[in-house]
Amino acid sequence: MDSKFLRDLMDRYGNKVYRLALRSTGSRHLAEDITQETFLRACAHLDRYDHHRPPGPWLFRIALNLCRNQARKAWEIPLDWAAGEPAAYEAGPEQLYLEKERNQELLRALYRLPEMYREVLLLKHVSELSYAEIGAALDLELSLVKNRLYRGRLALRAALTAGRED
Amino acid sequence: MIKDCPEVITWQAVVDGEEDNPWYWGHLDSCPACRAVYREIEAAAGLASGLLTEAVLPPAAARRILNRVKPFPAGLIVALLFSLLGGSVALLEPGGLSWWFSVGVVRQWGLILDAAIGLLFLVKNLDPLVILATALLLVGLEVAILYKIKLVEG
Repeated sequence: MDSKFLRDLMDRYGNKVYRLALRSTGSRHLAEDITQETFLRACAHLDRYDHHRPPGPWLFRIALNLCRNQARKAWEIPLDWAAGEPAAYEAGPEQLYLEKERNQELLRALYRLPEMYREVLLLKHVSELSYAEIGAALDLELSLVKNRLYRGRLALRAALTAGRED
Repeated sequence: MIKDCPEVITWQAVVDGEEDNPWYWGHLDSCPACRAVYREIEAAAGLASGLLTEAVLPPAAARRILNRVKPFPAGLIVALLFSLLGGSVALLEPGGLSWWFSVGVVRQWGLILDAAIGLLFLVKNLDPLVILATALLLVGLEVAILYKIKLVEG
């Protein structure tokens, strides 16, 4: 693979793929491994990539497959404390603690959702993809993307509420 | 909701910025039912947006990925090793080659060198320059040891 092309891919999508893997696996360690494997596989199968299309959805598809494999291997998603780290901001320790707690609660609710909703939510809210890009990454019709996103968001809210009541 | 009210999915697209027809905003102002739907979707989307993280791929991990796919000059390193070994033979007097092969110890050192090079390939996600430097060091070490042996054996 042209190393400049790879460097460009890494610059544009490295963090997004990492964040997706981080939220998907709940572990920084696994997220790094998945990010590395995503780019290595992309290099190995460059011939399957259609150069007329943006590479993002193709990369996210590889990353999601790896996340799925990882989820099948694990009995339970090992939510490590750091993986629930919120966006960096200046706050006191107490506020930071509460923010982390809220974050972990949200992630636990996410992991209770069926995979089809979880993936759409991750691609929309973590990787910040458009509907069309999500459709391309998951090989779904646009209407199905919208439906899953709608139901996924409601399911996330319900799971969060249920988690608080437990 | 009146007959021309957009579907829930359409309101979601408005919330997500995927629909930007000004008609929707006008309709929202005049339709309380749609306003309620819009707010509900907005709240659910706001909640889900808490999933966003600013985490960044650690620079060391990024470097490791780039190194793994960087073309590794294995052929060059092997050629260099052989040249160095050949050169060291020439430096160690004539008839050197037969001497090298007659010394049983060479085989062991050759094995050690092979194993070391194998290890280098295992950790080839290191910077190639580091690998090359280590390989050179190993060759140097081997040559020095052989030279010492030759001196001892006369």
